[in-house]
Amino acid sequence: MTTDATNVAAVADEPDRELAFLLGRVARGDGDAYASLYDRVAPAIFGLALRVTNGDRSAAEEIVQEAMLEVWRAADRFDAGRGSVMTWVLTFAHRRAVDRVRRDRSHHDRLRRAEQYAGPETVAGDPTDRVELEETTVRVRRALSGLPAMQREALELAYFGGRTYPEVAETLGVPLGTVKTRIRQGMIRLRERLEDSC
Amino acid sequence: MLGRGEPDDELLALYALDALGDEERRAVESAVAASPALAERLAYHHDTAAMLGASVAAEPPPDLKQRILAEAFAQAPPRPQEEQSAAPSVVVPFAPRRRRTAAAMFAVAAAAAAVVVGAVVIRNDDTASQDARAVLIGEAGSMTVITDDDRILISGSGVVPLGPTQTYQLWLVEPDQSVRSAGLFVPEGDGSVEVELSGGFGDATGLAVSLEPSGGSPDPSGPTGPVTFSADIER
Repeated sequence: MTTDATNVAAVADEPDRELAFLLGRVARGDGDAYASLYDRVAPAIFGLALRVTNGDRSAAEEIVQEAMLEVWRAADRFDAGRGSVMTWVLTFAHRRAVDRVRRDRSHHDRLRRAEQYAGPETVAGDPTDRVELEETTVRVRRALSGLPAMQREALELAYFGGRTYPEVAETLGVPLGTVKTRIRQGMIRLRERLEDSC
Repeated sequence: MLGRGEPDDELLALYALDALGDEERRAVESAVAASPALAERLAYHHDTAAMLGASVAAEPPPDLKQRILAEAFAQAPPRPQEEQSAAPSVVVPFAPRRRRTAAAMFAVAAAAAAVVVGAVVIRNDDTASQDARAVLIGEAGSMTVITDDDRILISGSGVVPLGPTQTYQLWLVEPDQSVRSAGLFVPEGDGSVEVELSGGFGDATGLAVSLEPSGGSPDPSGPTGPVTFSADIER
């Protein structure tokens, strides 16, 4: 009988494959693999949810819970050919976080936030949280900082701010078409810069 | 903007950021469902968005893990168990990765976030060589299981506590890969386990622990709940 340790070690140099490997075991009801998967993806989910909910820790915890229970329930429906496990989990979590802030945020609040908006947020995260400045974080920050400021702020307002692109346009006071172009170009350029840095 | 044509790349990028209103979101979803090429492009944008998301990782509160594990294990497992504790580990086939960059980026994030790989440690106890012994260490706690052929002693700590209608069940894995129950046990509220079961390991080559409804697995031939620990026995 092959132990978990043997197989996990065999794929340890390929952490993305390792996530898929663990998820495959979760799909067969392996609770230990589920616990290992939690350790690998929960910090990313929690950090993202914390950011989108503007530092609401209890909301971020609930989003981690929702996302991880979805992993438990839907592990067998994951298609490794369609993308990485991390993308799957973070896509789910981001949608939940955005739904929540849109539900909570009244129109009045939106307008007030727009008036108070003072400039682009950075990806540095809330300093009150122990954010590990991993290599990924450094790379993404560097790639982001290389974007034209207008692209970066539109991208961050949409993704981290949980705003729709019309809300981003309203916040920045620019036409809809301009915001759409900036955001797409920002994503394309961010990706190019990340690929260059690998 | 969407009209009757395909969504343009701007809308796909905005969709991946969750930056569309409901109407445009639904329009993109139906277009993507009908077009593999659009789905591929959307997956590309989703990867970029997720890289952005993974860059702000933060440590969740330590107690959150135990709460989530307990809730997940209290639910039905993802699919019915097929004597998985007895079967040799199956190697999951991986699709060829088309987005190497995404994988490479996440590799770093995952490695940094990793704490301890769920591992199983087996050792022989030289001072009691007559006794078979297995040490089960996993993310759901750790347990030492020993036998002197009349009884099986389980001693553990940090084991995920159970709800009132649940129990752990210890299974012996026979050389022919069939399994038989060795008994039920429940950890204390603090996660400690001190249990004595009657019986021995017999010819068993491995051990497994599954999470079951009170009274044990409804299927006497094997676990029906998630297997939370497994290890080979060495003598």
